[in-house]
Amino acid sequence: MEASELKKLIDKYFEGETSLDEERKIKETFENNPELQHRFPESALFLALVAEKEVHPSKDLAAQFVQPEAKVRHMNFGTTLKWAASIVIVLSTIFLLFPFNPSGDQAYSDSFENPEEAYEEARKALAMVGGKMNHGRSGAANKIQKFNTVIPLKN
Amino acid sequence: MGLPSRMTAKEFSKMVDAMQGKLFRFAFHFLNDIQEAEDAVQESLAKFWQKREHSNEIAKPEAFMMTIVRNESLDRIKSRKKESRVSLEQDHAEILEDDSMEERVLALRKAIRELPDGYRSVIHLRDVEGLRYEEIQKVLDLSLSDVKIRIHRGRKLLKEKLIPSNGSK
Repeated sequence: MEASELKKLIDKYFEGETSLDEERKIKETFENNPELQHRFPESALFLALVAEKEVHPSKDLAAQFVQPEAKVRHMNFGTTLKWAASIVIVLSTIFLLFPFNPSGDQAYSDSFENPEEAYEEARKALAMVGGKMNHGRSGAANKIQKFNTVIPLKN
Repeated sequence: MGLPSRMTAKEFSKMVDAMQGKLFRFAFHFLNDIQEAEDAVQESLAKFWQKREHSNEIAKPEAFMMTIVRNESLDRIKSRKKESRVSLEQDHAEILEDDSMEERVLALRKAIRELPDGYRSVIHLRDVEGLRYEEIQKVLDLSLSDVKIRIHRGRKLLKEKLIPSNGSK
């Protein structure tokens, strides 16, 4: 800042008409330019104002009010997925090793209540299977029989 | 605009951490004693913390905090047995012809602290801490014209101190 401009600002300061920015500029100019300090006796005042702001408490007055930041554990998606997968594997293993095996009446909850009726149905089912098997065998037997017929050779 | 809701401990600590230097210097310029200024600030912070239930009703928490510090400091001055301002040196601030820049600066610092009560606070808040006129109004509960007049007169008194006295070393 030029000396003439500085002089104008200083006069304006003592008239109470400077802005905060202008007041800051005056202080900075004197702080950074020792040669101007000697040219302007008013510099002592501005340096005194700067020095007054350098006064600090001897201890941290905020210490008793400062809250330590709580540690927040953030679980990322990957970690969550791994946990879920592990649980599924464990549960699956358990069910494989120890399948659901109902006991007592539960095992027969869908069976016939009348044992004679159950017997008749079972007999019919077996007869059907047997019939199918015989039919198959007969067909196969006939085909095999064909090969057992002796065909005389013609001379 | 006030705070949206009751101030949390975290918000309070953040505010205090940012302001403690300014609050301390403000108390110190009243009390001129480091220990007492620290006590005044801590007492003020505790009072503000107790009132945090209504913090959302406070338009400018920082200005309010400084007002509490001011009131606390003035209360302590009243309760002192001796004269309010305790100066380590009995001489009033004055610059001598032969004084070095350091001595001049020291003299002016004393002069700032020895300003009459009505001017000392406004000069401190404006010229040391850099507060806007509106902020000074809130802290000291003054009208805008009062703030401007006191700044003008306070600076004028300090300017007179810049003129070296007739005495020399």
